[in-house]
Amino acid sequence: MKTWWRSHRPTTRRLAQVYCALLYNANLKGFVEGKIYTGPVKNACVPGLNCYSCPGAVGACPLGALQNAAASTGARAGTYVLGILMLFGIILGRTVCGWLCPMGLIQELLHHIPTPKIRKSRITAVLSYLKYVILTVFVLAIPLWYGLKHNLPLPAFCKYICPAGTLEGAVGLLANEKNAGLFSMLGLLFTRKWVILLVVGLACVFCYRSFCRFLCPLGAIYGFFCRFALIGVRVEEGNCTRCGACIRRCPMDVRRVGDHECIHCGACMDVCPTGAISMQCGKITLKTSERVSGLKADPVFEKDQKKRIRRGHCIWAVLLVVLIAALVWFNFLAPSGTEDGSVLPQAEIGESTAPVGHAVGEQVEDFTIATTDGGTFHLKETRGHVTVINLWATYCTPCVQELPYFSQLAKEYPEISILAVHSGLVTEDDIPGYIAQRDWDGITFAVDTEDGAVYSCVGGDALLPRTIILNARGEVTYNEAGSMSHEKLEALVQAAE
Amino acid sequence: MKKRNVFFFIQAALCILLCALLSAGVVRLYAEGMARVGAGDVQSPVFTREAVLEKLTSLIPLFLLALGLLVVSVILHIRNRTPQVRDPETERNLACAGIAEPSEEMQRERGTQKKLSWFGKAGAALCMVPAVLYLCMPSHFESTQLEEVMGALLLHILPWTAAAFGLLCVTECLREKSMERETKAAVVLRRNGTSSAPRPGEEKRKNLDGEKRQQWIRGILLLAAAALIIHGVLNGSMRDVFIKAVHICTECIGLG
Repeated sequence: MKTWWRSHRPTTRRLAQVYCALLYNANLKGFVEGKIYTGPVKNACVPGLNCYSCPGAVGACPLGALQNAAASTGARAGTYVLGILMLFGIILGRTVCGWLCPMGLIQELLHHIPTPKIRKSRITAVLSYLKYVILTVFVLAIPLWYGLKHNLPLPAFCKYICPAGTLEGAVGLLANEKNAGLFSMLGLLFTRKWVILLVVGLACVFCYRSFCRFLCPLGAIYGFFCRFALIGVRVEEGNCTRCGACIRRCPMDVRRVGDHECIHCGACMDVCPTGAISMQCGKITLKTSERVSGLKADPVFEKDQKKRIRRGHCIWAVLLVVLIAALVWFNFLAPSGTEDGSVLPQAEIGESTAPVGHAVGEQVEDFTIATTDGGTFHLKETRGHVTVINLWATYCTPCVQELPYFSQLAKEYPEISILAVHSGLVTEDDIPGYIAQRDWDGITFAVDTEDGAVYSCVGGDALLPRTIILNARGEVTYNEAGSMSHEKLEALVQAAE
Repeated sequence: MKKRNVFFFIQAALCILLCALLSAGVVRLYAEGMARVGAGDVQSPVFTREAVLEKLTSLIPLFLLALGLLVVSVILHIRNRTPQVRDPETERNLACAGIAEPSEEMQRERGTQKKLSWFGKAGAALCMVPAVLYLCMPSHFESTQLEEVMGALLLHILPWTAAAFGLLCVTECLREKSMERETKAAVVLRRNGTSSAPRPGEEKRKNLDGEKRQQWIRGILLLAAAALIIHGVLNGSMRDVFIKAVHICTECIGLG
């Protein structure tokens, strides 16, 4: 049993990976409630790849934020994300991949499934450059082009490739029974991304960290800082015999220890016959090989080692306190960022006797909102005909893409009212100007207040876009998040009529 | 075949089967849903929770079997880690270390490797030219029908990227063979006693100036990062990150 435990006990690196996965997803109640965390901590990016649409996520994904910054370059330079990525790169480099990335943990656990394994070779070494192509095309070029040219936010990597988004975001939300309504919006995109997720997962079983080695653009970004990173494995040139044991042992496609492919996992430290490799933070040695028998007898080394162990214990104790504090804060103390206001007083409006609310069959509470053309929209005044309310935002790709269908609907059904309410959280400084650039006639546009008064009335939450259809009596006949097609919209309006 | 290997193959087959069934199940649900929509029932959702759960439930026995085998492997300590591989480049460097005058064969092989390396890189760059040209043409990205744009993009970029990477793979494999030949030649040369044996730490070169320069660059980059973050907080790009993070873009996570 002792032998079994010795070979199976988690390494420091594994503990660090689990720790980070827990810390990044400390909002555990999000999994129970089926909602994402919307508090101020999301201003900060986490170093690893962790989807910010995961119900547990308490920080922003650096890769998603980078694509968003590229897309909004026309409005303002995304210097914050660049600075954050640079900071992580200089301090940690690809140590993030090896120690602090939840996707790395998932990939490594999958690789532990005992199956025949694919060895690294010159071919895998060549394929490792594929992530730079993905970084250039999907993370930078496409979001930048569509952002500048069409003012359309298009995070192409998230939308077409990212398995973390599918696993943590989509599956994380769909797994909750409260989000059963989300199934209605699944289609080709989900099918494609689901298959990509499975292929990536399967590849990781056979080939060590396939996603990380061949596809992950975040690793590619951190790889640029490999020469300047403060923390990482270092080779003491004087002790190195160039035996190549480190390269043979390394499961990544490294050419030398510490290069752009090295994730600083420290596996090479244990095989170095001269103990030339150690984990360093500047000039401080964080970890060194314990297998160097010659050095073990050295009293100075022993003293240093004891000091390192003591320091390690102190750091772990502090980290544990931080984790517990984070878990308690996010799950019990943190005020919820958005309340959907589902408990509303019952009132009698018009001829409807339905209770006030935003679910199908209920009637929406009256509200008044200033429109972007300087007028005012009163919901009460729309009684007597069908009303379509669309919740959107300029930074939401499907929202911007579906608005032409609403405009077309307005032309075909001039008697209905169509109100598009922009989220109260505004990134575009000039929303009326943004709307004026587009041919969205027939739609009344408004911007919600910062506290989301209209969104609360109609059941809007973090999910965008959302369409709400009210019948002539002001009762909700449809209220779902997700993209609309013209055919579906027309059918829903006809049903409401 | 060893029992251990049989176990590995069974586990591999189960993993592949499970993934194939999961993929096929979702694709089938999608096809059925689209057929309903095609038949005129536009309001009917393509996926329903019930249908997805039904598909998943049917895979539970297979999943449990795979999980059971995994538990057995953990208990019995059956592992198959990524095997260690010999690196021809390191072996070559090790064999050639300390050889002051390389033999003719070694020189010839070095020339071949250099040529192959250049040929691979130049060929890959050439292959990527049409892909880059396609990316640089604004007319290809005028439409906001993203599915069509992305489809065309993949159609034009993927073959060229595959060709570039394929060429690089082939030249790298040829280089590897050449390195092996060079290593053999170096070993022969060493055996004949015409060169000195490599001494540990012979190539030691502690470049203190380089280290200092590195520290300077690190410091400058750190300052630049801090400046960028402060600028980002002031110009509102931090708020952009927050706003994006507190909203779920349904398309970005693959919901649709």
